[in-house]
Amino acid sequence: MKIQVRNLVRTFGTTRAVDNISFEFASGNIFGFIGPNGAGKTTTIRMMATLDLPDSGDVFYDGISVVDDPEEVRRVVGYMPDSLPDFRDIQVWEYLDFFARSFGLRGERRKRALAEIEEFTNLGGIRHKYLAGLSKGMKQRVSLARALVHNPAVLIMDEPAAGLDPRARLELRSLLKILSEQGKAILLSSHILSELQDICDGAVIIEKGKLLSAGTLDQLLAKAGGAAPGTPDTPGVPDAPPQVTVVIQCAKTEEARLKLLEHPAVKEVVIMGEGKLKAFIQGGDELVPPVMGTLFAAGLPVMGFMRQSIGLEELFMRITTGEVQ
Amino acid sequence: MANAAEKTVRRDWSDWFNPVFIKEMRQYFHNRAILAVMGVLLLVQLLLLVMIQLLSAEEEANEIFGSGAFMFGMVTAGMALAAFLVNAVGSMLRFTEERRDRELDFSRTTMLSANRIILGKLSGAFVMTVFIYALCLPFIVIAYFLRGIAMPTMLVTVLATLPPLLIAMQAGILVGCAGKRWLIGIYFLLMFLLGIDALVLFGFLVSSLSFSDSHYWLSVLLWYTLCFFPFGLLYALSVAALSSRQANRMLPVRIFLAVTLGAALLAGLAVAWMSDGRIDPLPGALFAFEAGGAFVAAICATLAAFERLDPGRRVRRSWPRNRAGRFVYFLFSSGAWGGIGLSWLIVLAMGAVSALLFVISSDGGRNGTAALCWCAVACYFLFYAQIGISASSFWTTQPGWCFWMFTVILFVFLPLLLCGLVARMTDVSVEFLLITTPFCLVDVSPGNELLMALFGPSFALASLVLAVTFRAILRKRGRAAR
Repeated sequence: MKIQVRNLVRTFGTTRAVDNISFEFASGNIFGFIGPNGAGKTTTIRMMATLDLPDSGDVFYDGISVVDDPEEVRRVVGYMPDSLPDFRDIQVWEYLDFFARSFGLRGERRKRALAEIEEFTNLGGIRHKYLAGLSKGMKQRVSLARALVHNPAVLIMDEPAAGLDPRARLELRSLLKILSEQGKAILLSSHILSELQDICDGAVIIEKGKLLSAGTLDQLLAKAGGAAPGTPDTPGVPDAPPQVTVVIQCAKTEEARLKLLEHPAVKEVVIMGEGKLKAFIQGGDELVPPVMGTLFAAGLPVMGFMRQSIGLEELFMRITTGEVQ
Repeated sequence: MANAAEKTVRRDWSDWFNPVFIKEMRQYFHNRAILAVMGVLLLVQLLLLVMIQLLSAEEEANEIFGSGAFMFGMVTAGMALAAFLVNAVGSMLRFTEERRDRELDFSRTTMLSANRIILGKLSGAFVMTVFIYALCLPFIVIAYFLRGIAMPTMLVTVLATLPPLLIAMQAGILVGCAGKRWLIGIYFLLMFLLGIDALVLFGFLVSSLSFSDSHYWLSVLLWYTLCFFPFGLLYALSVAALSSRQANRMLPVRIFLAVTLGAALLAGLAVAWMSDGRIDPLPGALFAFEAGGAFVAAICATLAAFERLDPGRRVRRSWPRNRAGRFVYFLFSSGAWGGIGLSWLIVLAMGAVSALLFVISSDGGRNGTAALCWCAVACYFLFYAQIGISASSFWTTQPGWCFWMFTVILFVFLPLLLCGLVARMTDVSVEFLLITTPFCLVDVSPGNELLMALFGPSFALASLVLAVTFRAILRKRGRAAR
């Protein structure tokens, strides 16, 4: 299944919460949806899950529009919200049973689906408990089970790991990996970027309602090399060439800096402290040996060097400015 | 293969029921407050029985309290109150909680249609009402054996309590559809105010039963017919409120209103037929059309002020291609202008009927003037709605109903207040102070009837011109911006 978000706009009063956002992802991928608080993540996710209507633009699930066919979209989308069910007069199994019935699962098929989902989310032990009496982690599981009960092709999750203890987070991560292997397309928003990096194939980064960057992690990391903070990708304009950062240990830092700057691929060199400097090379990894070769050829005492890779957290910090609307 | 396997899946007996109905029933029996209400109901009835047994020893008290009629009255009242609390209030509170958090709202995350959800909620509440009635049945039987009341009267009275309860339940469901807690207070206020009227009407019905033995079923039929209009309207409004914004949510409401208008015509004919020649069928039917039309046009116009201006892409796409079909679909589809159009069409028909009544009636135009007054009432509602729509098309940050409320305060409540003050302090005739309200049609000075009846249509026409002009200006602006 292909999920296409096209020019999505949503305005609340005078605030443009979502401003012309477009991106896409497909089955079998886990995409992180990241941005500072108030960036418009939840608003976008709500529109994708048919909970809200865009002022303009649309979201297509294999061509099915959320504006024109929200009911049909719900058949293929499982939505796990940020807020958790807290009803006093319904038990876990009744809650899931209701959703299974609502999606047209009948008879043995429904019973089988419920048994499978209870086993998958490990809810068997609490199936006769009332929702209001569950812990946050348990409610998260119920919420996940509810989203998966009709076996949707797409799973949209808003802050699924918020408030979970480390064990529950690890379990959630492994559940998501299994779901991804089953061929589901998963979009999840989260603030815990280090965790996203471990499970996500790609990310969508937004700020102040605008899309800053979207793509696979490799694409994003490559793009972020040259991107200034807060610079959005311009559609139709070719991406800037990737940038490689190399940390070099050398006793003669000033001489090494001048030598490195002589190479046309080196854009900038920063002395980090006693015997340590950082070189920013414009281009791919293949440029690292020739650049380092200039230092060796000049006979400078290079004690070691390391190609530095940036993580999702650093990428996020580089791309966003932290401003809110 | 997979499809074939799915088709062979055996159905469970519960699969035949609405999923919402099953959920509701489970929740009713898990809810401690509801179980407590039922427990109290049983306890009170037992105490009542004990009290009657004790008092029956004393002859004087026995005359008042010892009769079956007294016990039946008490049991019925308790039964209706319990059903109101458990089903109307209970389902309203539960639905409000379910809808309050948009992310947990199952009407937005499942494939259930709005109609199915409302039907499931209503059928759940109805079954619980029957359950509560069944709990009280032994006490009703005891009341019968205590004598003092006839079995048909008991049956008719119990049946007659159902329609107002259904209206209260449906009103509760409608409030729940909004998912706003502050509306619960308004519900209770309305139930208190309208509940008194309903009780008075119910009292009339019950007292009519004791006068006549042969009209039981006619009285019940009349009562059910009377209750059907508010119930049906509330049902259609609930479906509309629960449908997604892009759906043609006003279609069921407008169809219901149109059917009501047709039913009013038929009711007029039926009344004329039953009057044994005292009422002429044609004027009777036309007058009923005027009265029904005024209600329908007023409701249609007021609802239009609460709607979005544009019917939306999804609705527009389903419009028929031929012009006549498009026009009819436009009138019945979502969108404020469709509602205004339908109201105007009804008002024009009412105007034509008023003119016809002037011609055919032999009472010196009294019927025609009265019919014109009904028409004027509808025009006032059109006037308020059109002003609200004009304002909301310019200031899009506020919803239409805010402007409608403001218009009503400005053109109805303030003149009424001013009129009250002037009437208290001076001897000046105040009827002209009320020309922006339908109240100017009440207690009119002789000879002024026709003049007063013309203010409403004039205001409606002026506000229509204003609204259309605003729309044209905004369209022009929109085109220029593009």
